Amino acid sequence: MSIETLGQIKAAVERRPRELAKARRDGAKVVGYFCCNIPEEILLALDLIPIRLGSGGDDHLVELGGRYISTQNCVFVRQSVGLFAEGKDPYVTNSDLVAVAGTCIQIYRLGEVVEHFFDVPVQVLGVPRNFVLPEGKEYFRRELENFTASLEEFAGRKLSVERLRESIALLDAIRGAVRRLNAIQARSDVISWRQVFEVTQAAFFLDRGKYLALLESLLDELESARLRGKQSVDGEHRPRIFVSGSIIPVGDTKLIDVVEEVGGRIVGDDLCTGARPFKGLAVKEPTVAGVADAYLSRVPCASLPNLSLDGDRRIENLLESIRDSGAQGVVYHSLRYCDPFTFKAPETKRVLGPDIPFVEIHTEYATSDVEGIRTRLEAFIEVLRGQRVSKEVANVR
Amino acid sequence: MSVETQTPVLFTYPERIKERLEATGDIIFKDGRRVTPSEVWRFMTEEAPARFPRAFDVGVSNTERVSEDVDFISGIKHSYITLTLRDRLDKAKSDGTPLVMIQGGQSMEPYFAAGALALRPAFVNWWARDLVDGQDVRQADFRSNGHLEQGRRAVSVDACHLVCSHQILQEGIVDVDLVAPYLCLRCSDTAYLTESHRGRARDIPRLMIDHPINSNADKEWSVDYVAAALRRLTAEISAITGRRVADDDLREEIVRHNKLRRLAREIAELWWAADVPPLNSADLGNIVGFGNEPWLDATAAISILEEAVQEVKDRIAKGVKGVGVAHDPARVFVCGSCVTANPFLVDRAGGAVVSHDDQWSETLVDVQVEGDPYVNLAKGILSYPYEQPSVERAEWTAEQVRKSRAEGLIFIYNWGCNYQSAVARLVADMVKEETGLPTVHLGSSELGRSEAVEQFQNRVEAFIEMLRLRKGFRHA
Repeated sequence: MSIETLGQIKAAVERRPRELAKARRDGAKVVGYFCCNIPEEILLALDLIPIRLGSGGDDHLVELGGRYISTQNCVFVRQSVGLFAEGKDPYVTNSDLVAVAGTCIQIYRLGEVVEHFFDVPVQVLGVPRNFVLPEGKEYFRRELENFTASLEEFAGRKLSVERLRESIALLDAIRGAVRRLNAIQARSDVISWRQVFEVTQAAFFLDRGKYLALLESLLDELESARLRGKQSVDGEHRPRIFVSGSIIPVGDTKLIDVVEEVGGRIVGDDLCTGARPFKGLAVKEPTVAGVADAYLSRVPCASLPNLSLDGDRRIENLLESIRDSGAQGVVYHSLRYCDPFTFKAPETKRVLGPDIPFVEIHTEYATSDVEGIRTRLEAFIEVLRGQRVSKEVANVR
Repeated sequence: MSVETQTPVLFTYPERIKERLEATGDIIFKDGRRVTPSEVWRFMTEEAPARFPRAFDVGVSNTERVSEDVDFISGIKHSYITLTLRDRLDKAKSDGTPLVMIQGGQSMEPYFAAGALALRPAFVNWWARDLVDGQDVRQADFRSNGHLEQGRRAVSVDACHLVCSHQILQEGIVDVDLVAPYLCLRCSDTAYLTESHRGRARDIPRLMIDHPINSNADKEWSVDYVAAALRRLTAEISAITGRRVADDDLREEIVRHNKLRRLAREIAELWWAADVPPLNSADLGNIVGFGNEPWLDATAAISILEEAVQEVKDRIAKGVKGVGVAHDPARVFVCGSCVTANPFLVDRAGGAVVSHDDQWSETLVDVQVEGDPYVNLAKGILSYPYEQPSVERAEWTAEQVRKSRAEGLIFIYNWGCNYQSAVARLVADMVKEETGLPTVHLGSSELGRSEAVEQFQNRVEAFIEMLRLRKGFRHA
């Protein structure tokens, strides 16, 4: 089944660089940002255009970036520096300001490096490591107030409660729509996870109002297709896989390709470029403090250390998402030198326990390990198939 | 066929220095205990060589060993302090003194003021390693590497060497009461390693003193945030000791550590200004290192530093050169991760390590005594030059390179040190632009282990050789 709205979204993404260039000529300002802890609510309320920067899967850019940062930084960070070094990415070249959230401290370094070597104006938002403690929350409120004041100066306008209320409502609607989209994907065969993932990533670039309209159109189309019994995914006999771990940015399809090639069906994720940023974020009041509180209370990135497993929203979300998606096993993606996720791989396996099969794929963008990954994932898929057969036999008996 | 094995000849202190040593003062510890010079002599000539032969193997690859400059008495006392680490920790443990594993480089006042001993991760490693007496360099290396590899297996192969100390605690090889590091801007691994204890076999109490990123010195909310974390820290230690930490306890410790820092700075500045280097690189690094690392007892460190200042002044007045260092060495400023170039190797190659930005940065910052000590400590912590945004840090580094009359800069980062490696080129390039001096950035894989260090050493030697050639051209 072809999904018409997906074509429209793809076309909109292709048009977007030209739109941005025109908007800038007309006086608009673009803020390219790294990390989903940069609150788009504030940017939109100041009439700034938010664009989430960064891409993956290109070894040439990784090598280029590595000349300025280090080969001991993760490939996402290296490639992102490479984007600035190369100077061809339309989102990088159309950014008037780069905002970085210090959630992942390698991203903070990325900001320092591009500011120094490529003369890019960078604005940093500090994010507390002690994010669950009252003093951490207070720090983040003040830090976001300071960040907002800098953006006001950059935008040449003051933040108004009314505009903030509007942007909160818009982004809340987008998050709700993306959550519904993920739920439809997990419960039916009308759209694949990969298609949803691509739609989700379109959110990084498109005009947010137009994006919401496209999402609503897509949801209507999928609902209609579901009622008519249409299928986009042949997923009945394919083991259901949940993808967790390090960032899989636009352009990085290596792991996803292999999972699908060896017969797995991805049905859910908790990636920062996937479903996670759209979950558990509710701004309770249209103030900067309200936005700050909401962002610190959301499902956190592994980059923010939590000293206790009890009440760890990241772990809770992982378990809930695996259950809701009906996944049979977890493919845990850890990028080399992505310490937050890599260090937590053994723990995640322990937390999931023996009933949820788990495989860690520790990799980079280079293709040299693809066959090794394929062998491991083939074996993993066989394990999942074997478990399903065992359960079916047990049920018959 | 028989195979002859050769045991390395271990270094011994000559009898001729005994009298000089015995004419110096006692080492005075915070609890009032005094160690006489005679006791130091006996320990360093009888007990220590038998228990820690690894420290008396003066091979150039062995970085954790005694200096051969036997006439620098303060250096011998420094070695006494380092080689009694295990005994002092064993005693503290049996006395019920809380032991806290921290992070390198940062301010120790709150831990000591609360009645705890602050152990850097390396201390945990060394304590665990030295539980076995009589190890030679290879055996000690093997034991330490075993702990490191166990850690990497349990957590991640991408982890830096800090994983070693965390694994030692998890295995209960040695024990601390609390893991409470600063998440300072030197390190990307500490937070995740502290977190990695959760849900594991040993539930070690833990907390983190967060160091927020990005231009904090002037942000009052950053100061409040760090001050709150310091209060939380002393409260946590108080819960162990049952003793409330008064503000005056902190002030007393601040005064003590300010003195420590001042003495360390004085020695560094004396060395930098001297025509002939009065100490070799190892002794300089060790003695100045007291300014930020008092080896569990700031009072004892002060008593040694006070004598060291006088010794260095005497040597400069008499034109005495440190043993092992060249008369006119190629002066190297080291910066980067919590690691430095092997000082013995640098000296042998004709260079000298004049400073290391890591601990030196903290040694430069005195803490205000009057007022709220938590706020004052937070302000101090947030103003360490090493912890500032990298461009500011690089500008400060260039200034220190000029002050120390360094002739080149080496930026070194460890395996797994994502955070320092990320700005190695930035800092090295900026220092080169600002000073016109050669700079290089190097990755160090196995941190001073005696095996597989030749590639790293080769690069350091080549850099120093280049500096010496450059110096020769300049003189010509």
